[in-house]
Amino acid sequence: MRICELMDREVIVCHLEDSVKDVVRIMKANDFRPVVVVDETGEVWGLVSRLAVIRFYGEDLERIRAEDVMRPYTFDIDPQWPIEKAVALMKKTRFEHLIIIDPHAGPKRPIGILSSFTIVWYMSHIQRGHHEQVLKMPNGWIPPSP
Amino acid sequence: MPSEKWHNDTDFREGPERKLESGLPRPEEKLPEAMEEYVRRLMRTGAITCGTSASIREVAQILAVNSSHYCVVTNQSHEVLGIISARSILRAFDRDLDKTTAQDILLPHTFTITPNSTLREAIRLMDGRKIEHLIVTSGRGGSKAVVGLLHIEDIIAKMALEE
Repeated sequence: MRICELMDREVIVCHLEDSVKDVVRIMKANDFRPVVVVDETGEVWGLVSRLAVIRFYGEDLERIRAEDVMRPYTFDIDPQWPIEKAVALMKKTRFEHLIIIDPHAGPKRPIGILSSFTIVWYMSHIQRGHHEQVLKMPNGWIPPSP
Repeated sequence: MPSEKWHNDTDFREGPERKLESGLPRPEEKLPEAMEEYVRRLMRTGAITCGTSASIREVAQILAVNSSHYCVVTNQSHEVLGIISARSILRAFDRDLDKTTAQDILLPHTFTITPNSTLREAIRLMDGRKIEHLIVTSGRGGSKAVVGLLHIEDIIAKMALEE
């Protein structure tokens, strides 16, 4: 299995100059997913995780910029990598989310997000959208290998 | 009904400002500071659980079908032993998913909060431990009875709504 087959292709973005207040609103509107920080050209600069924003609880969120709280983008991750390579990187860095970039574009444009929860889906051997059927399965049912 | 008894015994939803019949504040509770928020206001009751003998594959399926990022591990007496997150399962990626059990990978239940803990205390704990869900225990007489869970989503939703 390759990263591009598993990654979430809907990337939630904000801009460097957006406030943390904007970021929490974006998160709330998008099922509390992490937010990728991009510049005006669409190039990736970093990622704001959920834990990164809650530490500013009680502060003036309008005054803090996304650039100040983001985890800077450090790795170029190719969508053609095998999942095992991505998991090894997540375990080594303790990152919950990896930003996948378009290897063919000049600027580093984000084209997907791979999260630890997506890998849990993969490990469960349940296909996305099929969990309703799984819930109806009798006890002892063993899901097929992916 | 045990649930009714539990609710009557732990009337945390009423808040620390509740008073005895005499009209005096309860002596063991401090009155809240202005604008301080408490865990009881945001926590959710009930939790997704699994047993210690559940395989990692089964735990992954429980998380997947419930769209949940955590699972509370309990023993046969329904006492909480720990919590398993998506990250915990990721660490077991290379292991035999059908032979490794929840007991092997759980994050032990060593740090908890009570309904009367402040949200700031809970956030400090989440941030320090890098965990997104906290088990809330009753905290009465050292009790480890679980009364709910505090989710990071609910904290972010509150931050988004505050002016």
